[in-house]
Amino acid sequence: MTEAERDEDLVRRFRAGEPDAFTELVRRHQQRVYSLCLRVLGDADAAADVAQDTFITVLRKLEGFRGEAAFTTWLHRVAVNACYDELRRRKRRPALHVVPEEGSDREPGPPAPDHADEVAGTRDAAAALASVPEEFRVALVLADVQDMAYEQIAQVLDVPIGTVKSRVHRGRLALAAALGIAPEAREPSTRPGASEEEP
Amino acid sequence: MTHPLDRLAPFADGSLDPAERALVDEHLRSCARCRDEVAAARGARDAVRAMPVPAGPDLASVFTPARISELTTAHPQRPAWAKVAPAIAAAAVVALVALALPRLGGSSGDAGTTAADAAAESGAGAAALRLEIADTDYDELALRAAAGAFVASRAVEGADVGDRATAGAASPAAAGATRFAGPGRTERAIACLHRAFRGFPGDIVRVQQAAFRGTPAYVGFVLEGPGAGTPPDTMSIWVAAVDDCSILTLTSARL
Repeated sequence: MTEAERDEDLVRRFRAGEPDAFTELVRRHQQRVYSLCLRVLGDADAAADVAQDTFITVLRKLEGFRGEAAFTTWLHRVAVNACYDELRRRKRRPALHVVPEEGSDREPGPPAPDHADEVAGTRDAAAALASVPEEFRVALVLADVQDMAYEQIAQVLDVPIGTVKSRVHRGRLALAAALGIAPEAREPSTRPGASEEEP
Repeated sequence: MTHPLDRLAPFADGSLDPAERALVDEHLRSCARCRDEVAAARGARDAVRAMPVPAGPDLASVFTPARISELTTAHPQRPAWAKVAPAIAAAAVVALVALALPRLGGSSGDAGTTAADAAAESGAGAAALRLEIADTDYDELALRAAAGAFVASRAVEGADVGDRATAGAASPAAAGATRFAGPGRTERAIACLHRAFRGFPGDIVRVQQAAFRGTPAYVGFVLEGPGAGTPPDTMSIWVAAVDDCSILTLTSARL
């Protein structure tokens, strides 16, 4: 098994009865899926759970994967849907939700004194990101954390590319406002021509 | 003035093609508002990209070929993380263990009733294991007490257990007293216990994340029997380290 082997080849080998090909797919993509979940959910433990659920879903649906989209696009779609499911669960059942937002066992350890400002800044940024509306946050994370092209994000989210650009821009403005780096507070949706569905 | 709103995102991150970039540049020269937005968008993008992402869990070690086979051949109507729970772990059994636990070393008095709540919530007969987040720091004595308490609770029979479980579930004071982790974390805990206690017989009917002598630990409550449909005759408690899934201790009692 080599890195040169394409994801789609691994999918084919898995479907031909080689389970270790799926293990390789997990090894290859687990960190990216976890990063996406962490930034969308803002909770390290929930991100670990949802990342694992994502691969369980992928495993179960792989037989039906026809390859119309790239494997990574499909994987991100499953991961984003799993994140939305988790966000819905939180709203529905807050009493059972465990929220170790900071200081969880997967976050970096206690800050050394000379890194205290940096860690505090990270926490501020995480809190600011969590305040960005979900749809904008997902688009922003796909663009700025996952470094995906707008075309691919449009495929992941199954929305027009203009909608993606609009969501990313609004997400960035909302984040900037939460971080206090916006030049002045503005409501982006009040701008003329700012309709999200603009193509 | 028409603002090039659909171009500001790719302009801010540099992915706009040169011709369109020139058009936006031209617009920005006369539009302070769009200039401000681009500056803010760039600041936000820089901030989010500067956030360090800690290493995630090693999921490749969870999705072993054996586990993959298990997940793909398991009954599709049961959640993945319940696959390791056997048919024997019916809600009444879960409730039975739950009722025993409040008497265990340092465990919250509400833990049992809310576990019964979870069992009731999962539906009659469902064996939906959920990882409980417990503050308990067990030692050998507390674990032996746990096993002993479970054995003693076996004297309480079927209908009685059902009534008590229902009463516990209905208690408003019990709601939310025990914290539960999600399915992925539950599955990892169970996988860790199975890895530590590979080859050991028995079925996990309850699982906790707690501590054993100060070491973060997964604690599995396990029923063992001779098989072939015969009722379980032994109760064990498996304790494995969260960090490396090594065995920390094991205790058993005859039912």
